[in-house]
Amino acid sequence: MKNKIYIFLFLILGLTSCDDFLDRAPSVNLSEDAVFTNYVNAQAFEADIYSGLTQRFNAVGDYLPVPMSSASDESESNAGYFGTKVFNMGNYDGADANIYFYYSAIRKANLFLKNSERVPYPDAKTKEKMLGEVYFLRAFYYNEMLKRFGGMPILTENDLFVPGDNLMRPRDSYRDCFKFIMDDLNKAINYLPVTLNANEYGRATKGAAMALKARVLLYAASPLFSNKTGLWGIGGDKDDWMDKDGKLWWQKAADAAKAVIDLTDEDGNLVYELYQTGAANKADDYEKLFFKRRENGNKEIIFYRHEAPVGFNAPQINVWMPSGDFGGAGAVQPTNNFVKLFEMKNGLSIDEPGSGYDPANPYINRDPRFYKIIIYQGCQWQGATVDMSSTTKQFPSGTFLTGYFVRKYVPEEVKKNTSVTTYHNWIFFRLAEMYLDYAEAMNEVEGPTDRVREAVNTVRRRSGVIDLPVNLTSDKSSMRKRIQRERAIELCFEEQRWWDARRWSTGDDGELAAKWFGGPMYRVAITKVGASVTYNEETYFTRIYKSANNLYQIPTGEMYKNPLFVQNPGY
Amino acid sequence: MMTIKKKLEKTLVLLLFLLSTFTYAQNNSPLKGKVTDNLGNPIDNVTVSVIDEFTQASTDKAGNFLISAGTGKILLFSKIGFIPKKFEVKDNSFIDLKIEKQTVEPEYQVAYGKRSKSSLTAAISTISADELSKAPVSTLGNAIQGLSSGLTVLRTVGAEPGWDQPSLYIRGVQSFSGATSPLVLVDNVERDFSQLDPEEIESFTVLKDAAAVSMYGMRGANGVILVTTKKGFVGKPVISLTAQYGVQSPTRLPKYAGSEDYVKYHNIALRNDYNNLSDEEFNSLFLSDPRNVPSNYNGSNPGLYPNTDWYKSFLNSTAPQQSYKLSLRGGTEIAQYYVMLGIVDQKGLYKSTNENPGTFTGNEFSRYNFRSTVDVNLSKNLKVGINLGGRVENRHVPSTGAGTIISALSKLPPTMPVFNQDNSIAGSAIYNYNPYGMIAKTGFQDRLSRYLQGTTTADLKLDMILKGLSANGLFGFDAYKFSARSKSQKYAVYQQNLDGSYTKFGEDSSIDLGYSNWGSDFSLMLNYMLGLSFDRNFGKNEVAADIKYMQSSQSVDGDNADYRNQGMFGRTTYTFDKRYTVEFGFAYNGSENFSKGSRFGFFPTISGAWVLSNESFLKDNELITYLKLRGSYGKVGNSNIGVGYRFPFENKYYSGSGYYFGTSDTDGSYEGRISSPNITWEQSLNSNIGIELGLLRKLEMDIDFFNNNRTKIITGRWNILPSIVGQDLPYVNSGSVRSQGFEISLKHNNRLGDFSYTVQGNISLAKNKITSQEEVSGMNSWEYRTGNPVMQQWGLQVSSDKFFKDQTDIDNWAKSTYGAVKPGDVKYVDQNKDGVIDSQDNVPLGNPSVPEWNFGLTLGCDYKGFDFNVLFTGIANRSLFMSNNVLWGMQDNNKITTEVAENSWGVSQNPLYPSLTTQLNSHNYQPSSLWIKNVDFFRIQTMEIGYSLPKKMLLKANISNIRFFINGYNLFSFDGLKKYNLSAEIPNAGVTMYPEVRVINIGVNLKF
Repeated sequence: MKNKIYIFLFLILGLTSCDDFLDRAPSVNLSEDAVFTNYVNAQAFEADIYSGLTQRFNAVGDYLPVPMSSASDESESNAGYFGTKVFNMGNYDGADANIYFYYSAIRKANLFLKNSERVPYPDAKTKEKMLGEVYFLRAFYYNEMLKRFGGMPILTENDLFVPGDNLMRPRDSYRDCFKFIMDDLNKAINYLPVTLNANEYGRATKGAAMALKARVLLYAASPLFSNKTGLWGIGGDKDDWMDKDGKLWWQKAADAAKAVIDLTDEDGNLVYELYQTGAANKADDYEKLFFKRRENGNKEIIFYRHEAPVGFNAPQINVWMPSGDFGGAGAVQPTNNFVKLFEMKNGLSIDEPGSGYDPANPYINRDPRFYKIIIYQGCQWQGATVDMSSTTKQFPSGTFLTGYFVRKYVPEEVKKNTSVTTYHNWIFFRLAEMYLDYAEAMNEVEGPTDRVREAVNTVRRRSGVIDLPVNLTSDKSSMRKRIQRERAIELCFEEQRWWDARRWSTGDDGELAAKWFGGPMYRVAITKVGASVTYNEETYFTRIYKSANNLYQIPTGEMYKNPLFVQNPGY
Repeated sequence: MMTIKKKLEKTLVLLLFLLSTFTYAQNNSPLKGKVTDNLGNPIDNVTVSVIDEFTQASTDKAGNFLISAGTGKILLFSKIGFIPKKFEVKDNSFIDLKIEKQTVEPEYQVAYGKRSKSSLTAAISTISADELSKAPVSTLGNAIQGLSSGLTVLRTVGAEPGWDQPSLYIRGVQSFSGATSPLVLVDNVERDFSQLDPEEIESFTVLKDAAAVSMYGMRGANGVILVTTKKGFVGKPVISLTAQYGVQSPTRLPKYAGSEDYVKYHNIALRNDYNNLSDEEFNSLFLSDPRNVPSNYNGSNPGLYPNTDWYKSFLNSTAPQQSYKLSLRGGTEIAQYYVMLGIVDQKGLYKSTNENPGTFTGNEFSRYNFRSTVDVNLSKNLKVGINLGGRVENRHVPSTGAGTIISALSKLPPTMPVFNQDNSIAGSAIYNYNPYGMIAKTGFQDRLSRYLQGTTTADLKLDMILKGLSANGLFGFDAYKFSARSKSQKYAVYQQNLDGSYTKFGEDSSIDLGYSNWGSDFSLMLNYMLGLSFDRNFGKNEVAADIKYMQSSQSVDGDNADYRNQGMFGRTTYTFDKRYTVEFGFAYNGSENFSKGSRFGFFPTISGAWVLSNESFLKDNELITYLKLRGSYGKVGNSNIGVGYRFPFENKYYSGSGYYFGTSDTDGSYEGRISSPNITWEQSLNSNIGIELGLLRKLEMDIDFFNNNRTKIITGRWNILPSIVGQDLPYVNSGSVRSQGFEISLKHNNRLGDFSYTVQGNISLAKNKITSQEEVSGMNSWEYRTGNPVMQQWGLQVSSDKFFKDQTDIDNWAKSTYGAVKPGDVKYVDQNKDGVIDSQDNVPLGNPSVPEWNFGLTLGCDYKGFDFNVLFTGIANRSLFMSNNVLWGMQDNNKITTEVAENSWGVSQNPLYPSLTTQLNSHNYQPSSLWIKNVDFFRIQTMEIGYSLPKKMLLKANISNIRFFINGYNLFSFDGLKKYNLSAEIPNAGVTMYPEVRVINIGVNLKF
């Protein structure tokens, strides 16, 4: 009997002493090995690196997120928490500065690169294509940080932290980051194909990498970065890899943009062309190009956030759609500061003598693009005449502020209570920008030559806009101002002005960003008595913008966490 | 459903009838008698049975009984805690019998065993089955509120039938990352108790300190609740039948202004919104519309100018609930059995309609519980028990959730009718929904849950090896099946325009013909336990020891490994002379969530007790009749650390949505959080000191003080390490929380002739403080969580003048990042003086959201067949942000209460609320000191009056007891939210959640 007890005790102890019962075969989730030693899994992993490309129609804010445009002088955000309003009060701590987000995308790219030799690719071409995409994306994400903060720590495929590693890295210099991005882009340009099969649309191409290279060079050549050194600029000290002469920086930027414009496919045809259908009103093409993709005959788009068609309730439409009867949030509202930038039909700006501008009837005879970009008092929109006067019944009070809504990007046929959908992609690069990049850089190199003027006019003519007045663009400086305005109009709401104004600051024209983004912001108050409408410009808010804001603040949280981080000046 | 219930009722009536005829057949003259103790005090509930017959009676409160038994028969008198006594009937004379208390002391249920009062070293509290039955609620968790010291029962959702489970905490919240709810075991197997029938429960024990939970090791740190179901007993069968019928009615529903006032205040709000218009412009724009003229709503034209009470239109003022329980309990020395069937049917408050004939458009919960327990002594040494329990829960609700329906009732303005004049469902562009459509025309859902839980136990005495030794085993088998089906429908609403035309919003459709099945789940849990016990007295020395091994695995539906637990645990207790006890307990258990080689932990506990009243210097003291000191110190753990996914020690890649290429989504795959190979359980060092005191034999008092140091709480470190790693960092066990508090429970019983009474009370305090949590240096002092309670709430501090007076005031104050600000909006303090009001200005506000104080007080008495019992409960030191339209007024097109309207800025001279607006205002309605309210309450939780028919009347029917009772639940609350008509415990009940209810219930209990 005693033996039985011992057996029993032995049984208990025996069962307990091994913890195999709690040991399980690897769970259903994959391991790193399983991902990278299988082509299908590796492909899925690579696809996810693209998810760091976000549409910027709804870039910041916790509720009804709005585009960065509303922190520039283009528009005001009339909704949302923590969005662009914080910027407009001079607070650059946090919003749109998600360091974790970019590094998370970079880590994905690095994980792929670290494991890339293990992947059983079906052929060498596929391998090149995938590597090219990953190098392009890594460069893209680094550039997103570079333009916001200046130099940030460069983490490569050899810097995949494991527990115990030291995470306290100092910031790397602007020049090192720039160089790192250029290296990645040169590899990408080398590896990537010029054209894609239809089922691959959305992937990076050679043209996308070339366009990013043009933009990175243009930014580096711009005064904000070429006039500074260390963390904050490329200028100054010796470097064999690049020329030191500022002029040559502009030359390289111009060459890179020109290379995109001239890029041809295997058959020798131009890969990119401005979207022109031969419509009677040429500005119609300007309106439609944002809803058409390559498969719809639009060869202007170089790289974009590829998404399925969306309908009325999608935030990228709804947030921009006029409020009230039109059913949208109407959260993006152009300012009068911006509306005043539109030239008259005759090519003169409204304050130039002979422009014919009539403050009592401000919306006639403007740049043809005005009517495709702005929803204004009395215009036709979705079958109604828009009324933003103080006694309107179309909009509840408080849902319209500036007296304008945005028409560009808002598809007119997508109405509330309908299920109409349309392509609505955030465009990162399109050919018009390359023309303007080229014009800007070449103007800095050689002044307003014919080819500079022609590049700008090419873009204007597509929308039926009159050519630049030659007498008003006779020197480098006045040409520069016209190019700046051209970018403001042609590329409005595309998150270009937000960066353009900054990179132009500290140059010959002074602190442009502080001048444009700070100070009084204007709305137009509309009063209607019977049939007569009067317009009064009034200040609705005085924004705070200091020259320090040309670079973002490193978020306070990150500064607390890493004592090696150096904060950007002025914060 | 109804037919089953009717059938059951018929069966019961038949059964009753049979039983009574059966007893009539016995023709013995009744015997009278009285049972007392040796002091002459009457003893109630003594079972008097005729041996070898089915006749049985029990004594009343005065100790009297009546029984039919012939001469020569032997009567057996038995009651738990007394020595059974036999009596031979010789003649018809009055039987005056004394029975003696068993010298064995009261026993308490502890982890995997029982302990006598003097050898108990742990802090526990018990709730008797009797107390549970006084609350007429279907969810058992709600019946234990206030009944146990150290146990916080907090209702956080409304009383939607079948969905009203409360949150439970033992000694408060002790972790900021890990799970905080106690481990619950039913018959020693981890199971949920909340849908058991109170009828099937024998005892309910709350284990609080380290000594009490030591055998649960890394699963015991949040305390343990032991539920023990009923078993049979040796004696004649007792059949018990209870039938109850109750009505639920909403306790507090918000009272909104009627149409006339609503329009008046709505116009004020509009004026505030359109403050840039001149009066003329405003008047022509709004006041020219007759629908904006308050006096039009004087009732003269209700068709065009209605005054709709949305609550009355869609909620019944009462909803019925009923329950029936039938049980049979008895047994012989060889076998004891208990069989129970319980039925609960609870209707919801929604008014049902005739829409879609054959479909019940309201909400309903029904439940069928059964239990069948048999314990058999297979031989002198082997006892086997089979305990089979099961239940069926059916929940029927409209396809639109309760939150959406109730939110609609609280939002729709009184000026909108339910139906238009052409009988179409009313709506508008802003209110493009209608509760009628939500309840009757969106279809319905049925959720069907079935549980089967079996527990088989075996006890083998091994005296032949070693006297006092026994082996025991348990096998648990729990199966759960869930399925859900629904039918759906769509509805449109129509706005009646002033010109008589209608505008349509939405689309109509008829209800689906067939069901669509949209959910199913199946799980199977197997539990094994094997153990050895030793229990023996050597003179004055008593030794008890246990050692057990357990493992469990639960398989679940879907692509997931089964959930497993494993461990070994034991306990040794040594008592000397009923004066000194020392106990050592331990657990060595593991969790699958920690890496191999470090997934097991050892959790020892030591405890002791000293019964001073058994010492010579206190023996026979008339004042201090009982005095015991006890203390415990031990290590326990919490393996439910709050990671949120399994096997965090593994490196993992997940599949995700990828990216959209071409015309389709591509599969994606991404890396998960960097693995945490060293992750481990939370550890808690718990100490407890207790005093048990008895005074004058009438008053019992237990006092416990505790101090728990919970360490190794996981933190994610994202707030202290740089973000450049670009991935979620491994968890580390670096947080700690200290909890301290005390519990006092009191019990006083007394009898004055026919009148006896009971007073029972408990008070508990549990405070906690985060003693370490990884936080970066350099933040504003008020932003640190360390030093604050775990459930502390943060919000903006409102300045002393509360609201902006005018534009200058706004211009001179910090700017809000929460939206545009107008005069009359809330003025927040800019704590860090950076000129901007943002999240960095949030400061700790009010008390934690889980209360620190808990009270319960029971008063009970009986007098000649009448009995009365009332339970008061209360909580203190709890605050909540009021975040619903009762306090937030009209913003975002909500309704408004007169209380808020009259005290708003611009209306009142001394405003308490910001200026009225119809628009969504995010600035004013941030969590702030304006909206945080103290939600302490003191409540009449349950009250019961019962009457038992005199025994004489029952004798002929051979019914041993008939008791009629009426009881109520959630009867009356004293608190600070009365003026808003909001529940203090659940302020969103009735506004954005299903309402809280009061229940009045009548019932009858028959025992044969």
